[in-house]
Amino acid sequence: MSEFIPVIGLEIHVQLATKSKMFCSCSTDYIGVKPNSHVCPVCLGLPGSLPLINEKAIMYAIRTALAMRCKVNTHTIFHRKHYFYPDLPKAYQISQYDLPLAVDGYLDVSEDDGETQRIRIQRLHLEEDAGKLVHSTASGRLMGAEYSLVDYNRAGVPLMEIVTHPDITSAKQAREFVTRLRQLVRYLGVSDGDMEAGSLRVDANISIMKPGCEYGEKVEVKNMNSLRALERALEYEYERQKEAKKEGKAIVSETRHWDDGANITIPSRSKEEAEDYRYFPDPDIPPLVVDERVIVQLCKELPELPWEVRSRFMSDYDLSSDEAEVLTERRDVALLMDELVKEGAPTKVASNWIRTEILRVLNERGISAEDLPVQTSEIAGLLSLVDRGDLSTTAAKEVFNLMLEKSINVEEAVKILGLSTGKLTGPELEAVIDKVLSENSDVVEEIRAGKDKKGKKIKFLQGIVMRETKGQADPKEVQSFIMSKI
Amino acid sequence: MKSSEFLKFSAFDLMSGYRKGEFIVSDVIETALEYIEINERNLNALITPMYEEARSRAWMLDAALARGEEPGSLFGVPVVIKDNITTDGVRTTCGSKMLENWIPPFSAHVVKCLERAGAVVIGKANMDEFAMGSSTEYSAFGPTLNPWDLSKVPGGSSGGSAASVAAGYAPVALGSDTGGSIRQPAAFCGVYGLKPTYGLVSRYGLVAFASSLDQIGPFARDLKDLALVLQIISEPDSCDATCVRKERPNYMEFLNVSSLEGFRVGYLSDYESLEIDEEVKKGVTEALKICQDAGAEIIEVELPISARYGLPCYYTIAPAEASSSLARFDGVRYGFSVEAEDLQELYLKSRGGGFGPEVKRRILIGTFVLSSSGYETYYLQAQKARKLVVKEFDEVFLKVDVLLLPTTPTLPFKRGEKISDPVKVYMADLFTIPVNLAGLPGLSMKLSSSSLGLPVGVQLVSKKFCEGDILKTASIIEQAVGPATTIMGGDRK
Amino acid sequence: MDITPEGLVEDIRRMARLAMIELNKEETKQIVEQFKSILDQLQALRELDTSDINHFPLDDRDPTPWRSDEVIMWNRYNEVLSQAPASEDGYFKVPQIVRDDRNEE
Repeated sequence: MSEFIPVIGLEIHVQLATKSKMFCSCSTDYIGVKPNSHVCPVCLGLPGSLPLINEKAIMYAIRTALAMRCKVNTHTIFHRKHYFYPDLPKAYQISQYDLPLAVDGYLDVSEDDGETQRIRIQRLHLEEDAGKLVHSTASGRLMGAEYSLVDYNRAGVPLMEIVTHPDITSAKQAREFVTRLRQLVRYLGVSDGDMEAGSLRVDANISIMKPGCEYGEKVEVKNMNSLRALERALEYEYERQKEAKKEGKAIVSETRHWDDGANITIPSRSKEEAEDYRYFPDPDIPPLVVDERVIVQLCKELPELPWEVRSRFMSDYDLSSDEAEVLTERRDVALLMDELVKEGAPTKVASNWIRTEILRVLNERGISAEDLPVQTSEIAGLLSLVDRGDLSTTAAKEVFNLMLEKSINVEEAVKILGLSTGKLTGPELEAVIDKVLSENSDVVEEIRAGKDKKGKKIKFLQGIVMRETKGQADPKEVQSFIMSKI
Repeated sequence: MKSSEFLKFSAFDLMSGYRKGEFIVSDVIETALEYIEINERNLNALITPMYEEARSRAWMLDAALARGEEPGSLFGVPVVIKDNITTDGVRTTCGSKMLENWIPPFSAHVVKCLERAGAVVIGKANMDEFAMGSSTEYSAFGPTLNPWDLSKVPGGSSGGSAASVAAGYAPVALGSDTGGSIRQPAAFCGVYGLKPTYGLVSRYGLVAFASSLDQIGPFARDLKDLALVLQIISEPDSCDATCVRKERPNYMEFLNVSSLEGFRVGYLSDYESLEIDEEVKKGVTEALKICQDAGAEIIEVELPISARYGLPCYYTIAPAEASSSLARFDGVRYGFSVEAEDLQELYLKSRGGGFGPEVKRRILIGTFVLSSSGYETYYLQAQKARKLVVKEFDEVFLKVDVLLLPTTPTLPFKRGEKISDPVKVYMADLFTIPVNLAGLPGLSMKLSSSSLGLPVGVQLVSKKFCEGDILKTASIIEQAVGPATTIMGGDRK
Repeated sequence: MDITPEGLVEDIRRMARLAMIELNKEETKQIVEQFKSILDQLQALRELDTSDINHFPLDDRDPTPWRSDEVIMWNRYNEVLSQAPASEDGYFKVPQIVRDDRNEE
């Protein structure tokens, strides 16, 4: 029996990281802020208020559209989308309908086998976010709450809506797509792209079909608040639809919520009638006209895109796909890699160092690479030392931590730790070895007496020497000195 | 000089008196407020007289002048503001139960302009609820009466503003016009009422009815006052994306005209056969003659598209936009709200209880023409038809500089006469609506009085942003017939 | 649209639901009567041949102006809250949005 395949389309809302809202000058900061304090007559929809478009929001949206190879419309219209809900102050949302800002782009996602799958972008448009609701139930859930509280701080924050064609063929691919999109908006600096914080929201439409046959009934899935939830919800829904088909049941075209606790999708409260949004062009907003030259300029100013950086790292720095993936996941980290290499750090060491030490520090401190309290040239210097063998990795970690702690450079840190860069060798090394041997004369005797068949005692002595020299000695040289002295 | 003489003064007369030290702002304002208190029992032109606010403002202005501060261009002039224009700290009801107690936390751009110029806002004028109506009978605060004949309507929806100026409450007032709501009451009350070109005056602070048609405009009893107020309120405003940024001309300069030589005045070729009151026709004829005598070329034109499709076009688009503008009144954030068990009940009952019958009717029509079953057939078609109306006017204005038309088909009608038949009421806007559809400027001015002493008005329309052409023509007519007069309590029939 | 009396009543009820306006029987009856005559007026539009009119929202108005991305605080939000029909702790308050009508298992 030929297998049903999933047919998935995604609708993603990306909150733009502008300072002010989409149609007014209120701050877009709404988390942890006193309710209803970042509001004004416009975003509250007070009678007599009028909207004014945020220039940055347009720039950010066009930038994103261009990065996804969309066609940007030079003339675009805002529409009103009507429905009644407490978080919608005007009882309509200013959005875009049949003349959106951009259409027809794509984003490639990579498969396990290294192949890429092209996911087409149907449209990208701008709209305003709604307020936030807090419900009076103990669980905070909407259902059955005796009353709800409304905070309009978030109302009017700019949103970019991105809709794909139903080109996605698995839950995993959907996750991969959102990961790529999230990475892209972060690279472009247009959004935090944080699903848990709500600055990136995903709704999915999923149906199943047998290859070559008709499309099945679409089910909309909402409330997936993480990449993991997205993948699991779609996997669940795929299975559920397959089961239904096998049992000969029809699939109802409906909206379902992902219940993260119960790991199932449940039908949303059914509406007697489909919502009629009565879209019409907003008469308060004349057509948005974007000069061709602005579009060309924005295209020129696009930073190197994540997939371009990844390719370059693989070819120029001779890194594996996985290594490049980690290094390019964040733009600030990728930039750091480039800078380190420019400052003379060897690529392999830099790659390792970033993936281990630096990412650890960035994550621990929750900072960006630019905020590291150490100069890039200093880090590069440190890495060169490691590469030359002048400093062991262990010592280097200590040095690095001290540098971070005290915002000092390599030389100072090394001095404070009492290390010497450059090797301990020749007579200086010999002196240390003599000291160690004399302090452990009993062991020396045993070795001389032939009681070290497995070489463990030699290793023991070596270890002491290495410790004493704080790893500054060349192990081979140590070994030959010891052998010669015994 | 009897202090009630103040009430007949124009804004310029008042400012001249202040400058010469003949009287002070508090004198004038006190007179106006006392007069209002007495006459409001009859006229009901104001929803909210602003006794305290006006008195303290007058006091402050007098003090400022005494200190030697430079007076603004409308210094000490009392102004009445239609109650759908927000005034910070003073309730703005839009003539509706829905906003009976709403106090806006901001003033409209035009109000700020007037206040910066030194004007004194003395009251918020009565109006048809949410600007929907042509008689001010649809107000939740009772009808306004026509100062010329208390059994007649003052027109609408800016009936209160027009009546205030006609009755002498203030020399100037502000109204709003979506389908004739300034011009028609101006005609019914025998004063000047101008609807500016769409986009000339900021709508920030005007509670929206139909956003692609609404404009705020001035009422006055003479052209100088009218031109001055227009100048002040048409200051560009970056808060309104539909308010154009081009420089405004000096409107007063258009009034220095003694001849219409080389000017082309158009009139509707079939106006004499139209179903309009004889007196109205006479008014148009008389006005045309005055223009001709002043050297204008009188040219016959036709507006068949506007005549046939103007009303249905408007009565599709305006209700559609209104259904959208008024959706925000849901009992949650402000306004009329009922205690309800659940959200749906809150919405249904607050909106059901807060809106009057005409508003509900228009919202429902509007909802219908925007719905998935009506959009293509009605709304989209109407917007396309609108383009044909625009095109028709464009062609006409290649042949003429200004159009001279009736403002409204009838003289002021009796209160209660039309209210039962909405379609009849809609017909009152036959000559005004196409002007809104095309976004053109339109002025209604008093020409004469009818045999029964009711005002007869006439309308002047010009190209976009050519208010100057209207003012020129109006000036010639004013020079012939004189400015508008007040009708004070004692003079009334 | 169904212009039979019954169809009209149903349409008006549907529009009233969409517009969230409660109409009593009397109001519904009145509006139905008026609706018909109003819609008759609007029918005239259908005569017009508008096939060669370009997409209406795009026109020769000045394009919409852009506002620079700067924050301006508005400090009078308390006045808005104080006029709210219902509020709690700085929030606007609304009654039950969704009833819980799941069966108790």
